[in-house]
Amino acid sequence: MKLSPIDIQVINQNFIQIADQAGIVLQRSSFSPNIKERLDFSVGIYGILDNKPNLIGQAEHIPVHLGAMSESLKYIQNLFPFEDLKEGDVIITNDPYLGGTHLPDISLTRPVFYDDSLIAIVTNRAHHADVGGIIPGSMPAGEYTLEEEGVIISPRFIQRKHKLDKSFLSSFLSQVRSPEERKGDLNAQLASLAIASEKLKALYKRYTTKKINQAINFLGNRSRNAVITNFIEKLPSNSQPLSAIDYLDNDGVDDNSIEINVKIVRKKNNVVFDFSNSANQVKGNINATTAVVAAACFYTIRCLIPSSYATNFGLFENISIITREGSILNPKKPAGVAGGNVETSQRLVDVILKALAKKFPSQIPAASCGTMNNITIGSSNFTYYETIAGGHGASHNGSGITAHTHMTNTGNTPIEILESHYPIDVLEYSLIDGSGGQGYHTGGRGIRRSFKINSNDVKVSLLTERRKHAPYGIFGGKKGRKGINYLIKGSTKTILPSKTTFSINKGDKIIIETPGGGGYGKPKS
Amino acid sequence: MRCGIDTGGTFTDIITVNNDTSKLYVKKIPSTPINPANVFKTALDYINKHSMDGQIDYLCHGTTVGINAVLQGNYDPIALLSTKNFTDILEIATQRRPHLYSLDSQYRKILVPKTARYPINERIAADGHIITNLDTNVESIFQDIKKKSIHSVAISFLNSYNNSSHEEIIAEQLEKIANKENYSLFISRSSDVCPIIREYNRTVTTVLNAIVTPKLKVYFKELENHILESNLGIPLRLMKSNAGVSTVEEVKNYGIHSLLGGLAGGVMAGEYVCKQLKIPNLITIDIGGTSCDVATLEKSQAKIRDHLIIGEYKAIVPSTEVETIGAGGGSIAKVNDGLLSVGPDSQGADPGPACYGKGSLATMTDANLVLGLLDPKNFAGKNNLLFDKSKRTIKENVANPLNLSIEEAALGIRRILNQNMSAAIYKITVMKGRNPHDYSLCGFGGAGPLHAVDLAQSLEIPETVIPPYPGLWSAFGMLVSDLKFDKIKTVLLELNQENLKELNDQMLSLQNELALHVTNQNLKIDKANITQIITVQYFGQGYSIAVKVDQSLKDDDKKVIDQIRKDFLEQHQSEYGWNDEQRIIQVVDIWINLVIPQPEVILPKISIGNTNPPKEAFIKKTTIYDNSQWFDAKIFKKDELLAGNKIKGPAIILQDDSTTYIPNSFVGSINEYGYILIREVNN
Repeated sequence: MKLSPIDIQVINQNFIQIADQAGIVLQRSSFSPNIKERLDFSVGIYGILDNKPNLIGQAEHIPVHLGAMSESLKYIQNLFPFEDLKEGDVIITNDPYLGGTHLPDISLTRPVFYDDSLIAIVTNRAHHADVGGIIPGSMPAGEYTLEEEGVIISPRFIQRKHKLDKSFLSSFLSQVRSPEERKGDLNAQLASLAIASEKLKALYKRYTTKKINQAINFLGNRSRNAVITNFIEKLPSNSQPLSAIDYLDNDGVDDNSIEINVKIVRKKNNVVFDFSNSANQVKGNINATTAVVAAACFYTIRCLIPSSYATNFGLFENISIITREGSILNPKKPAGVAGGNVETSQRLVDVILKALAKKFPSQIPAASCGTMNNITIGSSNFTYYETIAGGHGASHNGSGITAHTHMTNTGNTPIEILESHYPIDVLEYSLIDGSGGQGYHTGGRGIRRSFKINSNDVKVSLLTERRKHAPYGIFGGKKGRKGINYLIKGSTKTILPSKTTFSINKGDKIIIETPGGGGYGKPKS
Repeated sequence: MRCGIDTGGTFTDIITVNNDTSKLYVKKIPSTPINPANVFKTALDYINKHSMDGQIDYLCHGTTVGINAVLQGNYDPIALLSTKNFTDILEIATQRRPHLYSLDSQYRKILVPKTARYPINERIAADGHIITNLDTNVESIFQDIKKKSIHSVAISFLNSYNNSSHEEIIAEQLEKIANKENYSLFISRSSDVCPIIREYNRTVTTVLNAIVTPKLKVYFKELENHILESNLGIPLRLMKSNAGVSTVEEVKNYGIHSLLGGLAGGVMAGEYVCKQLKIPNLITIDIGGTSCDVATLEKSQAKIRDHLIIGEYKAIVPSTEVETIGAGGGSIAKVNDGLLSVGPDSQGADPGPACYGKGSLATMTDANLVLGLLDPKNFAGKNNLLFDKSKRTIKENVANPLNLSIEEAALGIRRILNQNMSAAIYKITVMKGRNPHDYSLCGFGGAGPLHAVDLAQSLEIPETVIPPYPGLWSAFGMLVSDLKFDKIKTVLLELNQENLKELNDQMLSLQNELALHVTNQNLKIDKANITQIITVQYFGQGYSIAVKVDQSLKDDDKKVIDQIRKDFLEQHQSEYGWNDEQRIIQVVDIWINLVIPQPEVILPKISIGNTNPPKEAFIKKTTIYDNSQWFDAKIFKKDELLAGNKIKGPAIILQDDSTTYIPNSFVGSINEYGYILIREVNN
């Protein structure tokens, strides 16, 4: 019998539900504040069609993971052909050069079998509080190689036919800080995949693999067509590419601005994002892997498509991305990448939006704060990591808000949780009045968050941006206020670089002021 | 006589029961949303005139006044006093934007604007010690508040869950000045309303309390006046979010507790069903015109959690675990690029479904009418539903774009909405580690009995229960609820024998506080049942699990700890699928619950018949479209059915307040109290 449109919708809702449920198990039983409080994780469900994994459902809180896990699966399939996988296998990796994002993001992948054949792959990716390396939190700023950033796990089995590889686990745990926490988080990730796997089997049993695959094809086509009508067909013909340039402040090693350059070319029903003219890879660890570049492109497109279309493989099919090997967007191993995922990803969105603004004036806002304002504070016995929100760019529809922008949407660590867990007091957490760019609509305000450290021998890493190049306004709107970082020792207040790792002691204070968003349209006179 | 008055957005339900004869009186009257107290007066007049075969000695009320004020932003301005440098906590919230893939997120409604947020110079550390001494001078703040004609203030300082002294002093100071100036000022203090860790959640809860309490005070004053005028001479009782009953005295200071009072009745009615039918595990589904509320009960008890969700806010007050989704009779069906969606938008009662005459969009009710499940001459007080208009609307909006027949389109609408509702049930069962197969499903609300069996089938729930008065069952729940009071406090202690004394001391002190709170409301607590609950987690996790403390073990420290540990491990395994017995377990919150039992309500029995329904019960034959085919079906009249009757599906059972659908291969048995118990024939 033919699959009815009603069955398709029911199956679609099931994909979403299963991903959500796996996400809740991961969030609620995990230990890293990044996962449990800040929701820095995703779950992806991939249906197998023609022996290829196709994204069919995703529980997501963090756009930088969007589609990135798809990259990771390509590498995994090369190393572990699907026909060799068995029920109860789980593969682990965090290698940024094999589809990863940065080392703290650990991905687990599990094949799902029904009737002895591989029907699906479930995978999750979560930001662990520490994966070793020379700096607590594994998010240093400056000239670091990948190995100095943390433990690199090349794709391998963590579980084979339901049997956990204990020797791998203990060897990994011996190389990280707070190993008990890591173990707990990995437990939560394994439990999350087991649940998704069970639910998928039940779904395939109810509908048969044939019907589910029909539904997957229908849903994929529907999303692909939505990309064509809502995005590609609105682009100018291939003779007039859209292009834009924006800059990163620096790489944390020297103070040279770094160019990010995009050219968007339409080829009939396809579109090419060409970043070849962007700067060469840099010494500082803000190089972005190709998975991060892809995620930034997909995020932008996803924003331009109505939310009633499913997030699935169809969104990605007519998109190709060109990066130049050896550039900041396609670095060569072992260049450090910790900051590429969090900072360069934001600039990628800024530059793509800037190129598209004229063609989508009612949809595209001014530049948002353009940074995740990462701060890591840690010592031998604790690690605290936070990203601080900033101003949203104002848009056609209204003023910008203050919240996380574009490639992240993590929550904050409540001050009371932070203060009861770590030797840190928060001195201020407030909005900076006047920091949003003026315009017909005003940009969102930045945030001031100040910390006092109550312990000695503490290392602090800052990975921040838009301290030199302010978030741009559009259509006559003004720039947002730049961000700024301060260190206070005794009565001396100094400005800190945007990216830096340094030691501080008891009583020292750090002030982070995040950028405001750009304004939209000429200010009302 | 015990009386319940349940005011919803469209209708106010009145239900009265005679304690001696068990006789029940039910009535639906239209609500008066512009002035909600008016309908209450009408209801009292109705009771005075009609149901008087005895004196009313108990009156309980459920209202949506508080929740509507918040959702519609219809309240008087309030002020917020915060620790200096932290006055923006309410506005920064969690830093998360509301929609992940939206390039122009708009501001959430800010409950207190910047101009009414005042800094207080003070600071307390996480361990409760004072870092910055309190500046007690609030004279100028008071004058500013007065100038702005603000009459309600929330106070929320950092770490006050661990040391409330600064908040208490400021509250006293403000009260003193206000008294001196004879200025009415309501004060909501976070260390009093919810002494819980996490400053944003605590502040939101305290602010919401400051917003709704004055509004509810005025409303309840009006109701009390109406009661006085009608010479009833009894105190007014209120439903609250924790599925218990409260007094007007409590709500005058803690309005936040009554926010979900409108939903709690249904859950308590579910508890009644469990006890009467001896069903340990029950899922309730209350389906109205716009929304559908689902809840689970285990060991015949409602699930109570430590928070409630209202719009985009989470308030930390004990509340029934109810999942609400936008699905009901008025839910709109739409086709977008080849996919059909139904809800969450609803046509409500106005313009209502297309078959009411005014609306032009296809709704669930239109689909049910086209499928033959509704009687156009007997539906929700209407006697002339427009069948042809429903058909035409579904054809244009759904059947044509999907290239389906009208019947298939109507059935599609029903399947999609059923899928949405079963997803809501799935969320509170399977996703919490509960297997729906171990439950019965109780369907009520105007549309509940029409959909319940389908939902049970899709989730493999073996039995569906339709209560005797499904359309007013939530109101009935108010008559069978006990008085319930709670206090919660964060303690953050490692679970071990050394800390047990500290834990016991804290619980005892919180228990004394709660007892005083209750006796201050002129209630006697000599017959009260007190439960001690603690919430525990592995040290370092962010979500804790509630565990009851077995008071019979009190003298044996080791047993107490072992029992808590065992309960925690079991629940952790069932919810998250893993455990690690080496890990340290931490007590996060302590929670005292005090219940004052109310007299039992006994439903009247109906006459006994045999397996075949009496002739008088049969109305007519009809045809019904289900499972992609037309079935011959019978329509029955509920009032004439007798205990012991068995109704084979496909069949429809009509009553004034609802319509029950028994699909093919199911059979409904009428029990001695008039419940319909529906099972698959082979089961």
